Parts: sequence; structure tokens; C-alpha cells
Amino acid sequence: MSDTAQFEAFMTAYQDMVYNTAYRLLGTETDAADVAQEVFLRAWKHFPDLRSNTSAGGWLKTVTRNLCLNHLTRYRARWRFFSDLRPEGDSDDDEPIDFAAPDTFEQSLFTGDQKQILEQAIAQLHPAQRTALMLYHFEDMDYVDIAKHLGVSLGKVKTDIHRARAALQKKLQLKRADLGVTT
Amino acid sequence: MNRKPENQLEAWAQAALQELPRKNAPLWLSQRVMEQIRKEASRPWYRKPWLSWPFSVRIFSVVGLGGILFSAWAFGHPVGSVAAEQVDQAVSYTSTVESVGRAGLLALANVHPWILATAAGALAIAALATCGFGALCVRVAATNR
Repeated sequence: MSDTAQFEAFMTAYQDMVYNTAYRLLGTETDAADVAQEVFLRAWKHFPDLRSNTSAGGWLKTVTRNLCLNHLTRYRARWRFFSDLRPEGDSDDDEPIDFAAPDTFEQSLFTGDQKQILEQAIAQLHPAQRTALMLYHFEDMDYVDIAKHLGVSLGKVKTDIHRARAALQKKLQLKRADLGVTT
Repeated sequence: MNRKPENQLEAWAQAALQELPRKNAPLWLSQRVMEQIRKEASRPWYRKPWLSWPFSVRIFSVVGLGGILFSAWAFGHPVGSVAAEQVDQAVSYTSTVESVGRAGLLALANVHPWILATAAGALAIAALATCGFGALCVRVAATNR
């Protein structure tokens, strides 16, 4: 098997993981594809070391995460500016949230439609909130690590994650109320 | 933040997000990457980064660059006069700009102070209106987000 054929097989094995990670952090398919391409071009340069390495998946995930964070850093000044201009009435963190019992989550939350609603709600989150939320829940990073990686304060990370969760919860509840679903 | 609702919210978010389906890479991604790799491989050595040039060529390029620098130093006089000519030219541009500036100041000094004050006021109002309109656009955009 030639080097390129081996690399193609390597890519087939890992491309979904790389793309999914990039998509969750960046929120758009175009950006995720661009970052995934860059990750695999870098992997090609290190392929002699990676092909027999059992931690190749970890290497790819780390490179993907770092490239996504670099990509997001370019827009950080804009986030900071817009995060100070929250629209009036957009106070997810101030309103009490009515939680369903845990067993009800399992039964009625995750229908196909609601996954779709959740995807849409994630796409509508503020980039700073979405990134912090995804790093916490998908990348298993703690608040301190997230703050360090994003170059923001610990308090901001906590607030962003809380607001993101609350916004998702609120959007799902509103949708369920529209559909007449009771919890 | 109340700790208990926060923990419940975290648990809810964790459960909800883990249920989301995995996004699969588009089919064209591997083709695009392989195409890029082939393109990179077919580029001639001199169009690649210097570090990936053949070793002998790298040695030759270092020796060649050293030779050019030495020649420039050894035959410094002609090079020096070209440089001096360039500096002279730059100085003449500077003096032209300076003359134009002085002429402008002289013209301003002869304009009636009331006209100057009115013009300055109009400029300030225009600047404030631009900033106000910009801020309004940003707020509208943020509200519609």
C-alpha cells in the first residue's frame, strides 16, 4: 500500500471525529471543513510518526481544537464588542428555569424534532457562549482551562456557559409549549 | 447563582448535548485534502519553503547569498551613491509636502474666523451624526440577532 493510500485510509478513519469537533466549536460547516482540511494537511506532514502511533486520534483532536481556537481568536475583538450590547429582554440568566424531572428528560426531550431544535438553538448562540459551552461539554475541559484557552476571565466563562445552557433550555421549553407538550 | 438549579441545568445540558447526532464529514473533504497533497507534491522544489529544498541547493543558496552580500560590501561605493540619490529624492518629496502645507496654513490664516468656526462646527456635527448612526445600526443588528 502506498503512502497516499495509507493516508487516505487514515483520513477515512478519523475525518468524522475531526469534522464533528470542528463543527461543534465553530458552528458552521464551511469553517469546520476548512479547519478539518488544515488538520489533515498537517497530519500528512507528520504521517511517518502518526501512522503507527496509537494516540494519533488524540493528536488530531488537539490540533483540531487548537486550530479552531486560533480561528475563533481572530473574531474575539468582535465578540467582546457585541457581548456588551445584549438586547433588552435577553436575560436568560435572570429568569428562574422550570426543570423537568430527570426521567422526563430521557423520555421526552430527545425526539428527532427536538434534536433539530437544539441544533438550531446552538447555532443561534453567541459565538463566545457556544464555544465555551462546547469546550465544557464536548471537550471535557474545566472552567479554568477554557478561560486560559480563550484568554478571558474565569467569571466570563462561567457566565457564558450558564447563559448558553439557560438559552438552550428556554428555547426548548418555548418550543414544547408551542407544541402543547407538557413535562 | 443558586448551586442546585445550576447543577440541574448542567446535568440537563450534558444529557441534551450528548444526545446530538454526530456530524459526518462531507464526502468531498478527503478528495479535497488528497488533491491538495498531490498539488503540493508536484510543486517544483524552488516553489516550496526553503527548509524543504534539497540539501545541496540549500548550501549553494547560503554560499550564493554570502557572495552577493560580500560583493555589495566590497563594491560599496557605487551602491552608496545610489542610496544617497534615493535619500536626496525622498528629501525633495518632503520639502514639496512641507511647502504645500505652509501654503494651506497661509490660506487658512486669511479666512475670516467666523467662516472657520462655522466649518469646524459643521464638521463636528457631521462626525457626531456618523457615530450616532453607526451606534444605532449596531444596536438594531444586535436586537435582530
